[in-house]
Amino acid sequence: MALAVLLRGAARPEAIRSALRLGSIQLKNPTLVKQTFNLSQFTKQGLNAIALQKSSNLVPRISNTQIRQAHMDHGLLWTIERVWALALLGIVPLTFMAPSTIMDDIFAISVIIHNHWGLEAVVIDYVRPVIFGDTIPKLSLIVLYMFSIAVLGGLLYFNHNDIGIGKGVRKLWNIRETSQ
Amino acid sequence: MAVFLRATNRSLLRYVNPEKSLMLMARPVTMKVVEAPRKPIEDYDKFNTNLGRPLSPHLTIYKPQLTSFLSITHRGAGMALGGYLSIVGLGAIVLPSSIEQYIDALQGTGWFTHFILKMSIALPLCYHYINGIRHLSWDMGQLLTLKQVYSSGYVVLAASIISAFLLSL
Repeated sequence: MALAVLLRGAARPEAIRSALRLGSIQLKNPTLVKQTFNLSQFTKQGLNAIALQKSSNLVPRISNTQIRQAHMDHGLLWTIERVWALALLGIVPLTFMAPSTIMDDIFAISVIIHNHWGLEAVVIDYVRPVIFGDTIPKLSLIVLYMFSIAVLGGLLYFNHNDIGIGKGVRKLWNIRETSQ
Repeated sequence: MAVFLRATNRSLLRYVNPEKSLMLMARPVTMKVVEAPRKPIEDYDKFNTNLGRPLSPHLTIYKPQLTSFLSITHRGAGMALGGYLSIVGLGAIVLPSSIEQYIDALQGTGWFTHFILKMSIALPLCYHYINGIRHLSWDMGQLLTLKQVYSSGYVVLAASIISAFLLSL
């Protein structure tokens, strides 16, 4: 659907021209190199682009990377991940310097989500369908979600029913050689 | 196109011997632009497997470099920190005593044990924190020349070891 919209959009004359300028044009049939050349000739001569649209071999295909970037949700997720990491640069030291239950909870939620994204990348990078088949990678992601939720639940429990993350780390840091 | 071909066919026939030519037996052909058959977009991994390419990255033939070392250790440090947090989180539910009591139990053990214990948390934390800043600067399009990538890499390595050491004392 998104691809169809893209293709339709790409068939507009200005899109064709810009695609040609970027050198990122790809024809549906890679063997039609000669026609790629002809296409650029046509546009240079200012020929009507509707004629190009009608002969479907000449409709340019946007390369895979461009399609992937065009998926709005992933681009947005990428930005959220970076902003999230940036926020952690403040949250992490603050939790240890000024421990409180609220800060501990903010720490637990933000760090576990950050950790989940990292582990998701690890699973996608290493548990690949080409090595493990189709089911194991999907199963690993489900297990990862369950694991992250369990750890987050445990940490929130720890924050409210035990010493909490901030004070716990401070206590660990202040242990002495001899108990006095 | 078709009209053109028929016209040329007829005009060509004027110049050839009708008895010797096959042109008379052939019907005029009409040519038409047909859409090329669509190739199914093949999975990148399957494509490489079919070509017999080895699995990337080729760790066995790559020279160890600072860049690749910092890259994989960034991930490793993150996983270690996540692992510690997971032990605490799951331990809080599973373990019979509270975590606080386990920290209390460490009181009175030797200086070196404390140092190693703190270092094993502080080093991945400092490293992932400082190298994370390096990664974020790349994401904002900064420090991307090869020289900057190396110099910032050395800075990160030194800064994280020193800060972790000072924190663990």
